[in-house]
Amino acid sequence: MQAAALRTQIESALGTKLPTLHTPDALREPPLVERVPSGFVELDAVTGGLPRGGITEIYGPVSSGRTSLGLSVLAQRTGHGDVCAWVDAGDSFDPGSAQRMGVALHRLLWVRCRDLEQSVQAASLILSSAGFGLVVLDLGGVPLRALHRLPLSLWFRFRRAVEHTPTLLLVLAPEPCAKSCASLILRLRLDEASWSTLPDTATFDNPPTSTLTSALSRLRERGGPVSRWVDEGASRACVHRRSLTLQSFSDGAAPARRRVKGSPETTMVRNYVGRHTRLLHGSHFSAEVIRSRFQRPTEAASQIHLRTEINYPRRSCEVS
Amino acid sequence: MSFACIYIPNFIFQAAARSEPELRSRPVAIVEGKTLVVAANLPAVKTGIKPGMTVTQATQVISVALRPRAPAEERIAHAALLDLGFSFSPRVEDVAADTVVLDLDGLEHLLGLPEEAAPRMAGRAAQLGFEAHIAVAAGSEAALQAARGFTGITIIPPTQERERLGVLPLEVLDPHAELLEILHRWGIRTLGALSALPVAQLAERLGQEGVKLQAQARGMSGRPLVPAQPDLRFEEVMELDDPIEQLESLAFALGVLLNRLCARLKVRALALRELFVEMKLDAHSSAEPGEARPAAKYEKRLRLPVPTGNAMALLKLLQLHLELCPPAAPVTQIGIKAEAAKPRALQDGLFSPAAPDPEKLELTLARLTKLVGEGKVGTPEIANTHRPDAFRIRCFNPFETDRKGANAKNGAPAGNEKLTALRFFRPPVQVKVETRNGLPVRLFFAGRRGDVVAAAGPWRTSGDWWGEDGWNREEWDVGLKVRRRTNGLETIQTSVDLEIYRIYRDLQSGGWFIDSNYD
Repeated sequence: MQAAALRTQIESALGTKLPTLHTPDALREPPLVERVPSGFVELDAVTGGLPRGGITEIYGPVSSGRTSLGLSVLAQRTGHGDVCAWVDAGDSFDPGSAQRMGVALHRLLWVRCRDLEQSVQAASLILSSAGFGLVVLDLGGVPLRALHRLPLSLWFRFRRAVEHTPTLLLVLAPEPCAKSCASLILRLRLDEASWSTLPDTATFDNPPTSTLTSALSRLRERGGPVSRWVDEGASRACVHRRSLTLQSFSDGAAPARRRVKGSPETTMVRNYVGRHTRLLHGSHFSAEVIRSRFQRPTEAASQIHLRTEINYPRRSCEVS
Repeated sequence: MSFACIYIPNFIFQAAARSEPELRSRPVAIVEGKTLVVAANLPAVKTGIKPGMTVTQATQVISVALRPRAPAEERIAHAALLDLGFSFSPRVEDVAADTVVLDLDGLEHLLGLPEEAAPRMAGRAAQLGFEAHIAVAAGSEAALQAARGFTGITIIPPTQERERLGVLPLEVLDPHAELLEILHRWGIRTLGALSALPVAQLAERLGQEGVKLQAQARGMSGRPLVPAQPDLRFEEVMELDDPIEQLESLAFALGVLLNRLCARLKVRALALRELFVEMKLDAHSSAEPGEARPAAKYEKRLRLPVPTGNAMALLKLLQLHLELCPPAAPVTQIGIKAEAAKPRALQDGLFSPAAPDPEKLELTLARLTKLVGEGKVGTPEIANTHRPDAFRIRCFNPFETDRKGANAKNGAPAGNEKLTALRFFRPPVQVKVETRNGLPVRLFFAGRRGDVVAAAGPWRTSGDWWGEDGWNREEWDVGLKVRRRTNGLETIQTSVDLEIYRIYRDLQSGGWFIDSNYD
């Protein structure tokens, strides 16, 4: 009773100065914050999107996928017409990757910095200029010792600069830097890289699935003799036009050839692993929400699995 | 029909005073060459200085400051006067360097009555640095005589020209000296007296010239307006008495010129798209031993993404550029030229994405360029070549309309397909590679050791073999288990991560390099 009376007394005394005291619901409801998609549906389903007017930090070691995720966000923002900036502390940004991921380069301001100090100053200038929808501060490649020397007050200053603005400050770093100043912190990790190899066996009468077998079938169409052959433990294979003989080479030794006569209709290639036919197809990452100001991630959603692919023209591996 | 005349009295002095307004408040005489006083302001006239005096006589008056005549500034002042005229009427006659006549016919709805239009003309003239005499009359000749004869603003109603102009002296008509002397001997000293003479007798004694003079005196010469062509060249020049070395002083002078230029553009409803700064340097400045003699000129061109008339923003931009690349010698003359364009008319949409303010953005870009260096700030553009990591940096201008094909093409992800990005090492990092059976098995770089767990390649790529910067290399994608040592407080921990790199062997030099890593 005494507590209730005391509260009433305080509210009446401070009511005009602090009207929110009389609206407890307003205190419970978080302020409405606009979220933007990252481009990864699985991630957005858990986080609700990246918050505007705040700092989002994505950290992880080399090849953990943070740059891919950063470029995906950049593609989303430039696609919506936002003017964006990429402050590159290590001068490692690849315009080709950005273009392939759908980034509208003419809306992107790229600042190629020499070191961490320049990148921090450049970010400050861009944030004070205002009007940018996304500012990416890419700290990958910066020595950890230099990162550890960044004061926390710097991140407070950045947070104040983007508060109540439509700007999203995205920090990509090998280790967490912004910590409590960030509205959303994600940790990325590379689970595995997917490498493809030629299968152990391949047959001609099946639709050719390997580069080598498709090349051989094309040669057969040209009318050359077809022989059955076996390649055992070859580390490299090559095809000669006339004889269609598979030569097996042991490393550094003289070529050893085995030719087996048999039905021209079936040809087996066994135990073949060729370097030319090995491809890096993509990567599997996992993302973990370390901190979110707006919602508490459930345990089931704490590990989000993402997948990216490699798409480069020279990886066609066709044998003509 | 009505005409207005704008007359700048003591034009030579006023042209100099546009650059230095403080000259109006103290005695100043303008000298031509080293011998003759050609103009003096009112405080100087009160001390006894008269145009036509020699410099020797003028220097005997202690309080008078002498300024050399600046033809360039007079030319610029005349251009400013024409801009003032064209800001009110499309038909303007360039009568003299100090006088323009405007045709106000059909402009009543725009400018209002002459009693409203004339004060606005005087106000706008003051913005351009002039103290002007304005006269409005039914005839161009009457307006011209009234502006030259009366000070301030004069409005002459129709049919009252003879009566109002009658009190003016004959010198207002600027007649021949002989004719003036004859009229003075006759006792004719005012326009009213000349107008009262009988036409026939005047024609007998003075001929057609006398009749023409009398018609001018009556304000009824019927002189047609010969309109001038509007000139879209905008430039301002400032001659400096003493060479300027400090950037702060230079910025002050540039600020004065930019204010004048932007005011002229504003009266013509135009904005500045491109600014060209040209400064003459002191050719006799001493150079340090071993250094090359500085150039005689300093030139700087600024192209703005959006036309602007904000003089402060332009000054700030110029200051940043000057700090980045200052003149090599003291400056003796500053000139700025503007390429004019229509101001940007932009209506923001309710749902359109936010964009930086163009003027603020230009300043930010200049500051960033000063921070990181030229060629390091801008929009990346992929070069049309197969060379790896080939691009160039373009000027950043998000306000250009979307170019066709500006978005990603040939490989843009469709639907939910996501791609792995590359991070480049610039320059590529040299690495020591152990191979077995032609396959890379171990890498050593930057104090780290990586064991290859998977490798794909090699892919040969080469190009530009005909030039000196050709490339010829064998590329591999390798997955590494990298051991790195991190120092904790007391113990040394070793962690193992999987990292994917793109490495290559330069077939020309035989060396191995790390090109980039997948991230």
